[in-house]
Parts: sequence; C-alpha cells; structure tokens
Amino acid sequence: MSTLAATAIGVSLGGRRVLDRVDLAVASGEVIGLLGPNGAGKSTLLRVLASVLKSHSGELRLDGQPVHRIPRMELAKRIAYLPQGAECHWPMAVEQVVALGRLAHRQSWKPMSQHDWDCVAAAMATTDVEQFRGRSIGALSMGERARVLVARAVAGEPRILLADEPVAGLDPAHQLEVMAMLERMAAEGAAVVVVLHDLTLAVRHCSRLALLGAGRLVASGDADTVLSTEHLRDCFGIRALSGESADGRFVIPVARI
Amino acid sequence: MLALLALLSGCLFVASLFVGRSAAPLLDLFMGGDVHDPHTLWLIFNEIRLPRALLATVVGATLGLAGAALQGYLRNPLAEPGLVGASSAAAFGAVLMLYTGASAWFPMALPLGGIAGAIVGLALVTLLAGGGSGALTLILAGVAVNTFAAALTSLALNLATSPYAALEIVFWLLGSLADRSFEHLRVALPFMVVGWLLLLRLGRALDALTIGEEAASSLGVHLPRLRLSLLLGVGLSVGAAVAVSGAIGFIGLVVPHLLRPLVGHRPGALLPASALGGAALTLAADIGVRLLSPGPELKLGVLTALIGSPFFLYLLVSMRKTTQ
Amino acid sequence: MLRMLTLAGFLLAGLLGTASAAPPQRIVSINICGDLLALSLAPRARIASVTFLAADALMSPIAKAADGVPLNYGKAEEVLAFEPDLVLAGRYTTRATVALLERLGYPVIELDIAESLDDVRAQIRVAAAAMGVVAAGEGMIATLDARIEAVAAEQHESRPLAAVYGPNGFTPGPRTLSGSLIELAGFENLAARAGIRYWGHLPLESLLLARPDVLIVEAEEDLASALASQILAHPALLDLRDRITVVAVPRPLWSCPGPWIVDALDKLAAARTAAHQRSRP
Repeated sequence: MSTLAATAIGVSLGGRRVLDRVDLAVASGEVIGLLGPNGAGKSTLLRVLASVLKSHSGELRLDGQPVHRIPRMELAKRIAYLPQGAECHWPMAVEQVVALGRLAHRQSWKPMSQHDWDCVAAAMATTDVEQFRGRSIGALSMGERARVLVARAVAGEPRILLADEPVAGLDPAHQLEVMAMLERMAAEGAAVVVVLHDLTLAVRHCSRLALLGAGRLVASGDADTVLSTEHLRDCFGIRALSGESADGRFVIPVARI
Repeated sequence: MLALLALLSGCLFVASLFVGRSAAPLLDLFMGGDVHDPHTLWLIFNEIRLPRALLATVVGATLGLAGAALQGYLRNPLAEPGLVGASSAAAFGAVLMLYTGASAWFPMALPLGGIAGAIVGLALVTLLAGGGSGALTLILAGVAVNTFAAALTSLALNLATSPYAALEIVFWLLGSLADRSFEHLRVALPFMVVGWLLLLRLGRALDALTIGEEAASSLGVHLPRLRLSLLLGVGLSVGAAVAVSGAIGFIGLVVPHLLRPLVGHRPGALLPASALGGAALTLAADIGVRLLSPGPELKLGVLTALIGSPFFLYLLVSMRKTTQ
Repeated sequence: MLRMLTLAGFLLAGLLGTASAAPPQRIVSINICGDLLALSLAPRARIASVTFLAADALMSPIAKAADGVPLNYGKAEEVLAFEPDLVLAGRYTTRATVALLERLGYPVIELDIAESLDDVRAQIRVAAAAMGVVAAGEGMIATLDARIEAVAAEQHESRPLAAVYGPNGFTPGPRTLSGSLIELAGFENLAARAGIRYWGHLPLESLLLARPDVLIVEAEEDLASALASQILAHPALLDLRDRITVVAVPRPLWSCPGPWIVDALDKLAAARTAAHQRSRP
C-alpha cells in the first residue's frame, strides 16, 4: 500500500504564485486525473509530487514519511515521473531508452541483469513497442516515441506513477491502450496521477478527478462534482456535452463561453 | 568495442616508442642485434620515448573523456573540453611562468604554473556559475573565464620583452609533447587520475540526461552534484593535460563524435570508449608529427587542428546529405 | 639577473674546465648564438652538431662555416645521438628539452640574450671557457674591442636621430644589442626617446613627430630599399622620404655575440657619416 500526500503546496516561479495551498493525495489502486486549463499549474504540481521541483511551502509525504528524509535513490525506485514532450536527445536503440527506467534499481557498475531486461520486455509489451526493438528511437514517429517513453516510466516497476499528458500525440487506439494500462497498473497496486486534457478519457479511466484553476485546487472527487456545468464554465470557459454510452461516459466540449 | 580500442591504443603506443627523428636503431637493440652505443639508446628509449608515449596516452585519454562527458552533459555534439575555462586558464598559468622567467630557473615551474592556473580558473567558474544546475550558466561562466584568460595570455605576448620571449610563448601555446620527461608525467598524472575518476562515474547520470533534466532527476540523478563533478573532473584533468602539453585541440571534439554511433549513441558507454579513442588518436598524431616533418618538428597542436578542420567540413557535407 | 646568470655560467664553465682534463671534444649546440660561437671559436673537429639555423643564410652571418657540420633540429633525441660532452643552449631554448638534457646528466651551458657590449664580451668568455678555447675567445674580444674603440673615437658634435622600424613598428630600445650598437655608432635611438627599454612598439606618429635622420631597416641590402619605401609610403611621412637616410642592417649581424657585430657597426657608422653630410647644406 503506497500513498503520496501533498498538503498545502505553494510554489512561486519568477515572482508569480503558480500553486497556492494545493492538497492532493493518491493511494494504491487509484488513478487520479489532474485536469485544468493551460497554465493552471498541473505540470508544476506534478513536478512537486515527483520531487523534481521543491515547493516553497507545504509538505509532501511518501508512505507517511516526509520526502526530504527519504534518500534520493529510494525515491527514484518508488516514484516514476514521465514529463511532457517525449524528449529523447540521443538516437539510442529503443530498448536502451526503456532500460533507462531501470537505473534506480541498478548499482553503479553492474550491467543490466536478466530481471532488468525482463522488466524492460514487459514494459515494452504493455505499450506495444516490442516491434521496435533494435531500432533507433530517432527513426520513430512522435507517437511511437511517446509510447517508448511511457514504457521507460513503467519499466522501473514504480509504486507511484506521475504522468504528464502521456497520451498527447497518440492515435486513438493507443490512447485507449495507454489509459487501460494505467488502470491495470493501479489495479495491481500502483498509485497513478495523470495530467489529461481529454475529458472523456479522464472520466472513463480515472477513479478520481482533481481540477486545478489558476494555481488553486478548485474541485476534487468524482466526475459529477468536478466536471459540473459551473466548473466547466468557470474554469475551462466551455460548455460541454456529457452523457452515457454503452462503452462509458463521455464529456465533449462543444462551445466556448 | 572497448577491447578493439584498447588494442589499437596499445599498438600505437608501441609504435610511438620506435618512431623518432634520430633514427635510433632501437629495433636492433630489442632484437638483440649489434648496436654501437646501447647505453645512449636505452637512455633515449627510457627517458625520451617512453615518457612521451605515456604522456600522449594520458593526455589523449583525458581529452577524449572530457569531451565525451561535456557533450553528454550539454547534450550537444559541439561541446569540447575547453568550454569550462580550465584549458585557457592553464595555458595562461604556464605562459605566466614563461613570461616571468620562472621556468628558466625551475623547469617544472611551467607545468606547475599551468595546474595552478587551471585550479584558479576552475574556482572562478564555480563562483561565477553559482550553485544550482543550469547548463547555460556553466557555459557562460566558462566563456567568461576563457575570454579573460585568453586576454591575459595576449597581454603577456604583447608585453614580451623580446621577440625571442614572444616566440617562446607562441611555440608553447601551439601544443607539443616533444622532449617531455617523467617529471612532467609525475606532475600531471595525479590530477588527471582524480579527474578521470570523477568523470567515469558520471555514466549513468549522463544516460539519464538523455530523456531530459527532470526525468533524470526523477531517476535519482542529483543535478547540482553532477554539474560539480563534471566541472571538477574536466577542469582538473584537462588543466593538467594542457599544463604539460600546451593547447591540443580537436581531440576532445572529434573522438566522441566519431565513436558515438559505435556505442549506440549511449553517453555513458561513450565515456570509456572516448578515453581510449582519444589516447589512440593522440598517439597517432604524435607519431605523425615525427614522421611528417623533415625540417623542424611539426607541433602536435597544429597537426590536430589540421586534421580537425577537414573533419568539420566532412560533418557539414554529411549533414547536408541527410537533410536533402 | 643577467649578471647572476653570467656569473653562474662562468662558474659552470670554470668547473667544467677544471673537472675534465681535456676540453670538450663533442660540442653540440642547440641555439643559434651557440652555433655561431662554436663555429667561430672551436676547432672544427670538436663540433659534433649545430642547429639547422646556422647553415641558413637568412639567419646566420657565417652560413658557409656550417658546411659539412651535422645539423640538428633542437630535439633531445638528436642531441643524445651525438653523445655530447657539452651542450650549448639559449635562454629561450625549449624548456622541456633543456630540462631533459640536464636531468640526464649532460653539461648544458645556457647563453642569455646579449643586451649590451659588456654582455657580448661576457657571453664570448663563457662560451670560450666552456669549450676550452679561452685564448681564441680573448682574441675575438680583442679584435672586437679594437674596432669598437676606433668607431667610438670618431667623435662628431651632434648625434643624429635614428630609428629602427620593423614589422608592426617593432623597435629595439637601449637594453638590446641593436640599441647598444646604434648608440655606439653615434646616434640617438628614437626608441630611447620614446621610453622603450627592451623591445617595443614605435607608433608611426612618433616617427612623424621626431623626424629622424636615419631609418634602419633590418633586411638585406636589396630588400631594404623596397621595405623602406613601404614604411615611408604613409602619406604623413611624405616629406621624410626625400631627406631621410636609409641603412640596411641584416638581422643576423646584430642578433648574436661575435665578430660580425662589427659589420653592423660599420654600416651604422657609414650611415652616420652620410646623415651628417646630408644635414650640412
């Protein structure tokens, strides 16, 4: 059972207050969808959760322990952070990129063990990039590259996965596949926080939603609470069509207000 | 791959021992043939050829390793060991010894001055770049120190009291390993080894940087510590190298570039490969200066620059081909 | 500093002289001034090698004298191969090479740059003592001194103004051999007026304002007039061109101690006479 709890997080960047007393907690089995308009502070919050950015106020606890008391490598083993943008600077072989996810588990000089490679293979299978084994990541399309990087995040067998727009740029089939993978991971005991722009994906695959607006936590809870007409209007400035279909709920933005 | 490079370096090392201007019949000596003056030949071999070959190896390894580390950290294939200011600061330190005449009194003053210069330069860069982890501030601080050190070196040249003094400085700056002794090796090696140890440990961190600074940080890389290790590692090792050999360029730029595709573009694997590759290339160049010039010996720095420039041309041409 | 060095040189040369019963038999010089002194003072048979510069007419006033002598390029390996018992080096010979030779136990004499005629005499004495040809050294000095006295004896009331103007305005001041010879020949050196002590840069303005009587160009005779025209081609120096005397003193003549500096002195003295006559209407 893993929990990551952020309390009263405040962050100022360049003189501007980007996050203001935000609370967010995630536990094993949950997939939390972090929503909000551009510039609301979603990525910043995710960075704070990943301990990549230090907050100026507030507290972050992993499994009850304050994060600054936990050694760096230990944090790296338990938390995986997938930033936006699918950046991969050198045209390495795909499986080598995925293998980077095992870095926290390996000791300095030791080469990859069989177990490490097994995890890599499993991760590549879940994001459907096994077919690219041996190819240079530079030769792949953006969407394919994004999937490889998702595999990297997953290869470390993290207990907590923080993903910033992991499905941006993926085709619909792979979008659904990645979201399904996140749900599966949660079912197997991981805690997941995922930043999304697609509201339908959010309502369908997340167990809980959190809405950020101008650095504040506007709402948190189930789809009805968070994606109410008022919130859609006040936070996103849109009107949306919500409903149920045979395959699940949908929320489709239809007009700007 | 590494084994191949090690073998290449080894062969070049041995070749370097037998190449020289005096056409000393060293081979005869080793084959047990009849030689006129074995004592002098052994002297040449042990006190001239051997330290020279060893220095070429360690200087080359340093330049290759430092170049690969910087290129990995900055994620830029154009980075080269001089960026962090240590080489020009070392050059100025040595030139200062030439200028003040300290090197006339005490021969090891020259490399020691170079190392002192490198350390001062490093301290300055660390101060200017501040804490934190930004690559940009590091580069800017390096540029600042480079410019300043170069200006001071030019000043020394400008104020030289005679054309001979000026020429002495100029020739030293061109870069050479001729007539270096074990003393030079003894002075420089400790700093180089410390630098190597600092840099070789950075393999994992550099690999992690491939997917971005934030992802690397989440994988457990301590970015400020990485930057400091890089700075110290490059500064100490390259500073010591320049202190004994003068300015030898292009090795740190060309070697990682050439070897990168051969190690699957992995920055971590590139480190030891570039060290060996750098050693091999420098040994080859040093053999070249002895074979190529019938007159006064070509300076090593000049030869590496002559090799390096067409390399850039080739890069340009191949880049154009791929974009077309 | 220089005094100390020459003293040290003397001591070393003295020690060498007393330590070995016979004078050095295999002298190797890796410095142009050492080359010239060796070729001028020591018996040919005892010279094992001189630098390639000694045989180059552009650098050496006695290039022919180096015919047949094995040449070296200043590298320690080459030196070792000649099995020297004396190495003549210069103050600015590559430090690493000199250090290596000393480390390996070879006797090395370092000749400094001569800044005055006293230095010239001292250098000749040091080199002669080291090579075991003291008498020849004294003889060379005596010849030099005789000629120098003769030139110094020709007194004229005024001292014309002379300037050496090299590439980039490079000019020797009083604390150089060239500067000393210029003063000895009866000139006032413009560099001294400009505050230059060793070697320095003479701005064109200074040349213009001072209006020197003699322009000294460091080149061979035939090249000198062409170079002088280039220097004086500046519009600001137009009127100087007609009334200035140009004299060519090839660099090798006044770079190293030796009898050839007398040739430089002669040229300068002749130029002084010419300038003097010119100034008289």
